[in-house]
Amino acid sequence: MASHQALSPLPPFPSRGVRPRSLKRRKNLQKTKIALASIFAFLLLISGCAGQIPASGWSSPIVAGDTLYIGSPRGNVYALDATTGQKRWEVKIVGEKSIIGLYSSPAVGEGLVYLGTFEGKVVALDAEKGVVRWEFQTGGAVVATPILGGDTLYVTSSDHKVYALRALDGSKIWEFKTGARIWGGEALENGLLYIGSFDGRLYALNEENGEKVWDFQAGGAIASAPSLAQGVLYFGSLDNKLYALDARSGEKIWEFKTNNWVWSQPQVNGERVYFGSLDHKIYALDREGNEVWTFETEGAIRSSPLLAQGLLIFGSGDGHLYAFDPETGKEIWRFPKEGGQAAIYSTPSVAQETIYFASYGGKVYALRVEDGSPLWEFEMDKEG
Amino acid sequence: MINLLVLLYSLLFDNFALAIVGLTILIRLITYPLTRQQLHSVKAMQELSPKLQALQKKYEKDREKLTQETMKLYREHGVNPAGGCLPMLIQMPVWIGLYQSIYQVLGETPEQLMALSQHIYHSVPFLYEIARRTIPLNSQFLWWNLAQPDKFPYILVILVVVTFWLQQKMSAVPSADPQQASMSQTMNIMMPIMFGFFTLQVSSGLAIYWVVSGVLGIIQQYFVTGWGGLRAQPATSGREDGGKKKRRGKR
Repeated sequence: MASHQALSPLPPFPSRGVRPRSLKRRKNLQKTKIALASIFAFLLLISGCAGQIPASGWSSPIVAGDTLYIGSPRGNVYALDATTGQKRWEVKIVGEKSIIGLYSSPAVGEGLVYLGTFEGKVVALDAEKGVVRWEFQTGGAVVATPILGGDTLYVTSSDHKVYALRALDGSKIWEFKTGARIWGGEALENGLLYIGSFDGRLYALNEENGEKVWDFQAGGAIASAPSLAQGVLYFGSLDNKLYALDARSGEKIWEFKTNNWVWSQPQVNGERVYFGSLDHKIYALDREGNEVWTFETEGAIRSSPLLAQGLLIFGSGDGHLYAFDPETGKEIWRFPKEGGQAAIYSTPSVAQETIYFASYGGKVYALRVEDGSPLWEFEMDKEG
Repeated sequence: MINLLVLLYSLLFDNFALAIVGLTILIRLITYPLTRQQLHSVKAMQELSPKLQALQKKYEKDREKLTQETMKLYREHGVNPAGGCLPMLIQMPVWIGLYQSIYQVLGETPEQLMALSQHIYHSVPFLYEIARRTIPLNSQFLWWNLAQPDKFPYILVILVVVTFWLQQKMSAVPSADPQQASMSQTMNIMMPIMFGFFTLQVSSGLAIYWVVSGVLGIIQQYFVTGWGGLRAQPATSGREDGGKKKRRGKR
């Protein structure tokens, strides 16, 4: 803590005439102290504001039919025409004073669009009209994307819990509590729901009643959703590793270590496993966990890669969307060609030879899959 | 500072409040040579106070002479009136650094947590092990979320104001000049209030740093100057202390 400067006593003000120079110097010292305190106050406020990292969210676009749905940095949900980018509707689902964006991507099914908010709500909107049909309040921020399994919606929350809700009306069927926040999403297959928690455990739950079937302790927190392919469960952890487990028993098959946290949901195709790491690299492994190729970008890779029309597509914190040959690791195209735009932390999606993605801060882009040439762009949260 | 906070957190029972206390003690130890110098300067100023007041009475009508004699007295006793500014200047970057570090280390939003990943020394084995075991850190301490400002009943705000005021009071030097005394009194009130206001805006973690640092500062000062200005009678306006002392000296 700052110690107060002992103030030196000053001679009284002269009633008239010119002040001696040394007296003026002492008066200036007092003013300096006050100015110092004021400058500090100003610096603290400014640096405090400057030091705050924005919380714009990274909701990914989802296309259902001819409509694209996405959440925005200011808590709005948009429905856009997937072909032209024209807005169909826009609904705000967060409080007026909220300054944190949407991280959850939309889940679409049964005529409804489902998203979670950082205020802890799960919201179901009418897919055609954008009207709120129901809301469910959890005890903490909802960061992950909900998933639909039949007529059940599964949601994870920062209140440490997984919820199973009836998709039509949002009523709770069951809940399961883990040891810490859950920011990652879910995977569902063969009657088992898989989720990772910040307590470092990957849980396999019975999808009907939420009873734990098994759990696996990783070396660090789990922040992303797992992926399933051919009976093997893949997920990343904040211990810098990608794990492969037997999906039925939870036994570890192998692990692969990178140089930073793995926050990206892996993509599996045939004999390859693709994922990104916050060490700025995209990795391609074989099914035994051996590295086949890797490529280093200039930014952290948080989003999940996408396989579409023979290309591996992923976004990077350096502001580029990349398309690679998944077998050889050769770059086919990148968007934009030169320079970088805002970071890309959300996951791209594909529909009818068009790639859709959102950059950090609220712009949605549509590109041709084959060459990455732009078709349209839409800026969310723009006034007017 | 981020890696240091994570290290202290893991050493101190995975408790972030204790990590901040540990950091405060470390910073106090590092800045001790400068603080010690400043405290001795305060002590010397307080001891000189009667002589300064005597000079003021003697050269009441000759201001230039008064200033010369005052500066001579300072020089003879090795007192630098401006020396106390330095500890505050040094503390400023610490406060700013800690303010930013707390938000990143606690990772309340995904962006903050992701930014933390870029500051951790993953290639240093023992730091990697500590990071993977502890992150994300627990931001709760008692009823406080250390990443959020203090809330009702504002205990930290009150503690910050009180510790700042106590430190200022202990290091105050009485002045015979009414105008100077008034200015000192204003500073003694404004600074604690200003920091109390800041406490409402910043994270509770930074407020804990201020309180702990203040308490340590009070303890340090006590061993150098005693209770200092808390016991000293401030000069009251319009009265001559010399005359007052004569009246007190009853036989």
